[in-house]
Amino acid sequence: MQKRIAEFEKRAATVAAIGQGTGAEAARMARMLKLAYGCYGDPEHDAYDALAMGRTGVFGLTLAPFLSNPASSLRNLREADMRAAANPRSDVFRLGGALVADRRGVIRFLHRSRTTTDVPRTDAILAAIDAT
Amino acid sequence: MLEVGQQLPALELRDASERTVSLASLHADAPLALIFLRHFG
Repeated sequence: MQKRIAEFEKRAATVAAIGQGTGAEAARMARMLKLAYGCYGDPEHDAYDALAMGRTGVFGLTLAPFLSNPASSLRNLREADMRAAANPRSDVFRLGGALVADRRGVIRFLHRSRTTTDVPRTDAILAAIDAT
Repeated sequence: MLEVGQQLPALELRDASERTVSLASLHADAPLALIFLRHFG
């Protein structure tokens, strides 16, 4: 998504990321990833719980991603920030996802990742924005 | 469980200064694409 931010700007859509942690931790993550959009903290995981973002287990966090995509798995491990993994506010087993909401707050697209390598397709997100 | 077609609940997030930001404010003026990161790491 980061590489295609211009396509979101062309549609005048708001793009934001959230993570499990404080606002300051979100800001640090945004700097680290050089995000071109806002990043917010969800320290109590209220948004993750409300949208029912899934969880994985030890196998899903370790061997499964390595078997499905070794290169990506090794890159993620190399770039992982162990401070975050040790953060008591951060649930390392929690999976991510994405949603698109229209101006009224109606959910138009919702992706709950089933594995750590299951990421929503940017084309699907853009199509949902176009349909709002 | 919330699904497509349903209303987002009222939720509050934190910005870099730990100020409260309502989720509603993010989609009030434009469609919102919201990415849920796995964790900050």
